[in-house]
Amino acid sequence: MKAPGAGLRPALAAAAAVLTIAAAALVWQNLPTPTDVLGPFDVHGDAGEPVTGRGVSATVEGVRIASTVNGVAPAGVWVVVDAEFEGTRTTELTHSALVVGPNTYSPSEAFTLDMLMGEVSPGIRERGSLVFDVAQELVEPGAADPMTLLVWVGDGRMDSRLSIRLPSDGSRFSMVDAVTLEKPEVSASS
Amino acid sequence: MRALLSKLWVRNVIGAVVTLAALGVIVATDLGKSWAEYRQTVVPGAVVPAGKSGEADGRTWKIDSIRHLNRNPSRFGPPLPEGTVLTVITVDRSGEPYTDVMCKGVLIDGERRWSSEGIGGYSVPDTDGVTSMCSAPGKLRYTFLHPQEVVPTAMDIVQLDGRIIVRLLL
Repeated sequence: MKAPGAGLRPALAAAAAVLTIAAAALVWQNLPTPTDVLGPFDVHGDAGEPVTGRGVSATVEGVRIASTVNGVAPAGVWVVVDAEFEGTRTTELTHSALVVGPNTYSPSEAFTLDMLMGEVSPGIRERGSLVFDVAQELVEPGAADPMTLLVWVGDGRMDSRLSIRLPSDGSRFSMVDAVTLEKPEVSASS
Repeated sequence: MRALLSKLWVRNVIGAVVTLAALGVIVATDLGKSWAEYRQTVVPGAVVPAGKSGEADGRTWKIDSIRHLNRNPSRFGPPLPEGTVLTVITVDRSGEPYTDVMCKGVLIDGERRWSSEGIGGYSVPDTDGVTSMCSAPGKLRYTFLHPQEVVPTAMDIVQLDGRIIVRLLL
């Protein structure tokens, strides 16, 4: 004589197997990409305030939109970000990028010696400018796309990255005809 | 034996042991190597007390001199940034120079770390018998720019991959 429900066991086992395989397939199809796994951790902040990550602290002082920088005309329009960087714990090589809408811009290579690039060290503050050549329609008055400055150290993998919202109006924003870059100023921070 | 293997708990134990053994092999071969490489970037190969000499990597290391400068050692270079000074540390190193290793100095104050100045920075130029390159014979000399209130406690000699060859206490 069979126990009650004994005939259900194979069916339950088969259903459990199907569910397990379906769940595994679902997970497999939704695995995180290497960018998700190794990507940076954004530290958000606004212009005018210090934003600090693991390797660098940055304060954006202002944004200038200009037709020429040091007499050089861009393909689009120059976006000059005036900022201050400082190392936090160790000497690090900084990198930066400007995100405007769907586009990500690297700093222009036309002004390498006059820009805020290179290494930062603890207790030593560097003030200067970053210059980006940006598509004009993205930064025209009334443009809806926000501008965000990204700053990170090293290769950025699994590390904090500063994500600073840039102003598009107000006292920290201006549109000018020409900008003359000044050499970065370096000084002890305290 | 067959009767023993037919028991479910015995087969579960065998499966668990095999799984643990496989994980052990992965940790020992792959993860273990990565962990050891990471530890070498955190723990120095040797720590040399102030005023003493010590062995690391088959070589003997000792602080030869420590100097502090308040101006650029290069006659034509820019002035030092406001509020900063230079610390110049010379290391007496006996033994063969490295053949395939590049390294730099890192100054430590207990919490923060400053890398040595590179070419084009504020570094004191190499002279006869004194160099900033691990692969060259002679004493090693590293120059550090840091805020003037910093009190350095040690200097690491670090390979470019981050491995700390030796820590010299100041």
